[in-house]
Amino acid sequence: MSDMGILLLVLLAGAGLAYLWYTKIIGRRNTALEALSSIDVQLRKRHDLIPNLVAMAKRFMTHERELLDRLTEQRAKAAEPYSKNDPRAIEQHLADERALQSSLVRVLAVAENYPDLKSDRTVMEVQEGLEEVEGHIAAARRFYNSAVTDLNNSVQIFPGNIIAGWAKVEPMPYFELEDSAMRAPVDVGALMDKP
Amino acid sequence: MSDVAELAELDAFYEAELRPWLMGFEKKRRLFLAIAVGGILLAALPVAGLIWLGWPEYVLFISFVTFVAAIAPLIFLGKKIEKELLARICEKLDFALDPKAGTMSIQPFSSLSLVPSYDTCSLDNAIQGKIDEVPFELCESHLQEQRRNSKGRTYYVTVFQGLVGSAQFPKRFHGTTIVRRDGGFLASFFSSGKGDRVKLEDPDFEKRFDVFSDDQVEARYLLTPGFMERVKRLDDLSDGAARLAFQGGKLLFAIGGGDRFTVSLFKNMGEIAHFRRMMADFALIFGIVRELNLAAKTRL
Repeated sequence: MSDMGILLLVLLAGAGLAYLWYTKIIGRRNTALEALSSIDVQLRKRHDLIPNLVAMAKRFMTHERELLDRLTEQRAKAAEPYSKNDPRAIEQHLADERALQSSLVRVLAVAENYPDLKSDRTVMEVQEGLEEVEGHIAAARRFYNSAVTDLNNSVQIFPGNIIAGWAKVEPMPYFELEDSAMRAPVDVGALMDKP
Repeated sequence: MSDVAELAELDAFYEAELRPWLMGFEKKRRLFLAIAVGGILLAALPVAGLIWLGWPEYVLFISFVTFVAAIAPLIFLGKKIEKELLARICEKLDFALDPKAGTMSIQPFSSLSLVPSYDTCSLDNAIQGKIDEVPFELCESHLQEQRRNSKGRTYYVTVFQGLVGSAQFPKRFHGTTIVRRDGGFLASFFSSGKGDRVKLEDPDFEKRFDVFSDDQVEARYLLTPGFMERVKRLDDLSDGAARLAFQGGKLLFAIGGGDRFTVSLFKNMGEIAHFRRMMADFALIFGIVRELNLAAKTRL
């Protein structure tokens, strides 16, 4: 085989490998986007439950207006549309969700001081619904973070970083629980006292 | 009786009721065991005659009949004791026992690949009940596969023998998730038809199991880090013979490892080992349901 033939073969092999890597990157990006969509589906369920909770809480928690209004504002902000192709927009969206979750936890914690509110049937149903939704959100978050790890590994490691640069695929942000309230130790004693 | 803690109290039930009842079979067991041993020796005589003394071949038939006649009483006695012992334990635990397992089907377990493919299937000793308010059902299963030897004769090989069952899962879900022993790359590749592989965060869990699901989020909703720990505990309890699947709101399980609910007639009937062996299987089932109940209470 001539030198030209060998060079052509090497180039073809290189192009083939690059194409395989490219399909892997695109496949992983699509999986990460699918995971992001599944997070959004679950977050929408959370958003749908919040107005009911706020409406009921306003009847009992008359001194906590500010907290409830903030929760409503944060819900509206988190529900705003965003571009799924822009990692910074995704990061902002996830940060808004974290803030919303933090406020929600605070409202539920304060609600413990209002026995009438806690024992209200609608509130109990909303709380049960929220518990289930939070379980699904946690699961969706694990799926998303796993998909993002795969994607980021393939676009940040050579030669993936070059191919990702050509294909304009960027690393995506993780959905982490950064809020200090979310990381606070769980009061097991209080949980065990729950009926 | 439905509380897990009460399982320990069953030793007292054994001493008070089961042991005296079992001891009633001791004389018969010794007699039948002696008949079996004597009969086997007697059955060996024609075979020896055929080999060394050139006796005619029909002595093999005599040998076979002698062998069957010698061991049949022991086998029937064993089956009778097993059946009655299981019935008494189930009655004590408030479980319903159906020796013919008429309501159970192996189909859900085979369609989820919790048991290997088979040609013949026999199910018996179906048990239904509630443990800590969690409904469950299970039965013994024996699956065989037909094979041919080099001469073209067919024979059957046991491919699975153990317990199959299901318990109501406290979380709502719609898809199918299967947890199987890690079978390596090839097993993962050929299992692609059972849904997509789910990669979980727990390295020890990943090392032991392969998880497939048609819903990546739901698989993680069911297999929370806490529940993964529980599945590993069950795996330890069953000596690695357990396979699980989530489908139709239920947790389905298959636990291999051989014949269950058996009584050894080579031991004195007064030994607690007969009872303990049977209770070990119940303890495993209690363990599975207790883990489900924990999942419901802690939502982990």
